[in-house]
Amino acid sequence: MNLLRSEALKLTTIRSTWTMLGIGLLVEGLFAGLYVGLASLTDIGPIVEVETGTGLLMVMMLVLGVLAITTEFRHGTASTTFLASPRRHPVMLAKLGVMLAAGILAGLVYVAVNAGLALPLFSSREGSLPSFGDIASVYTGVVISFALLCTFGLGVGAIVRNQVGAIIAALAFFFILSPLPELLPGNIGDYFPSQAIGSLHGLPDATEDGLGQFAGGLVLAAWSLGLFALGTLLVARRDLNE
Amino acid sequence: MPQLEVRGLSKRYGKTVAVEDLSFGVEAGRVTGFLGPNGAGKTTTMRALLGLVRPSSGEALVEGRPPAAMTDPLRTIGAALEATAFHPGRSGRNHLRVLAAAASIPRARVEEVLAMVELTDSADRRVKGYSLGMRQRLALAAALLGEPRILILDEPANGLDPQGMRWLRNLLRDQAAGGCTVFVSSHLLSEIAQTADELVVIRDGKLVAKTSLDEFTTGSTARMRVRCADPTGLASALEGRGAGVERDGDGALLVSTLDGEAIGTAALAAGIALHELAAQRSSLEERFLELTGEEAPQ
Repeated sequence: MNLLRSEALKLTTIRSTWTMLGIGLLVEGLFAGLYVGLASLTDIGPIVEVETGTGLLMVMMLVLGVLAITTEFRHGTASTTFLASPRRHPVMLAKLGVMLAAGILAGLVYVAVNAGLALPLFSSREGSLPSFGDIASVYTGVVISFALLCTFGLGVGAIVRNQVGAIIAALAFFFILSPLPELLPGNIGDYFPSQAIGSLHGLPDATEDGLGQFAGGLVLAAWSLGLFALGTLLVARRDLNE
Repeated sequence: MPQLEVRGLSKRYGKTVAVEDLSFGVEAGRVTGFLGPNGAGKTTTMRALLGLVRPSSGEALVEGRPPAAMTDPLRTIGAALEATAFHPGRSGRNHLRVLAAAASIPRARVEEVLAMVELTDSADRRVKGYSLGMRQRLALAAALLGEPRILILDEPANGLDPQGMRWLRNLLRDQAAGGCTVFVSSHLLSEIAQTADELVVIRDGKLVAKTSLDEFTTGSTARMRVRCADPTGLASALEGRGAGVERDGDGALLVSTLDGEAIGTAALAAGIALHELAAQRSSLEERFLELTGEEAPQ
């Protein structure tokens, strides 16, 4: 409990956290407006439009997770942190807890902005919205995916340690490497994070010929928690020389 | 029982040996200076005592146990490490709040230590804008936060102005007087000479000396400086009594192994008038450089 409070304070007492969330939400809002402005150009299905705007926020969630651990190595605060708590696993678990909470909160804010801005604009244009159930399941998927993306970033950060290196590694793996297996024959691509997150968000492309929403969520959770577990083992073993 | 102890501690990074078979203990109620040139292995040793670095062999013990076994770490040991590690975007007060939260130390104590290190007025500024001296004081505040029984400070005097140095000396003396174990490193002997009771000197990762400050300064190199009417005559008279005699620049003699009384008696017996007879303590700095094998700065 103490460690959770400490980690939550770490997250909220630096500006970059708020800057990132602010920019992510601003872009989400812009997207909502853009879609109405370009109404005739969009022909990609209502659910996809509801989910649009998560793009930059997904990047932000990954980066937030990476920063939660790499700033400690970059600025040397890891030493202070692990002096206050020489057993390192509980610290990592506290970071996990705070990252899950941060992802969920960011997801809820996304939902609030989407429901308050995108949906009215959308319905004024199309006249009819997707069903409440469909929208709710997209929203649920987004909230869960944000929490898992934070965890994913935290895991990569703990493994790589170097801040810039970890951000590049997390983004490159998630957005460039992990879509590639989709090109292979068979359904192996479904088990990589970028496709799994599509399933989790309930996108038609990813759910119809891929995994369902629930299975997609499980795949993403397995990747995220697996990376987190590996990162935690490494952090617990390594020397802190800075 | 020593409060801090390393036993046969070795730490290697690949082929580089940072610390080699190092053993010593640090007692409560005193200020122990940890001296050695840059790169001698001081920081590695301190980090091993704090559980941040895993020994390659041997052990580092806090109150007789491995550092990871501490039940209430911040109340046991407070540390300020050389890197003065802060997130530049976080304020000084928030840095301390983060630590206090982790160890369930009350908020009021944060304000107390801020006042102790005279940072209350700048506590809400981001650390980015702090001077090196302010960062050192914030690091000290963090070390003092849990009112620990042991303080480990790595080069705390770096970046302090003369007033800050005096303030630091008083703080360390007060802490030791209150029963705290104070272990403080420096690469400059002069910073520590006025504060430390005990000295641990290392070089190239190995122990060179572990003594009290008094022994350190007298040591084996205490000599008598003698000026007299007939240096050559007195030199042979003294050598006849088993003394080691060297000539100093201005015709004076530097005599080892005989004390003032013996030299005076010898001079009287030889009928040579003494003009000057003084104990010459080698300076701390000379002694330190002698032990650590560094060249004296020109």
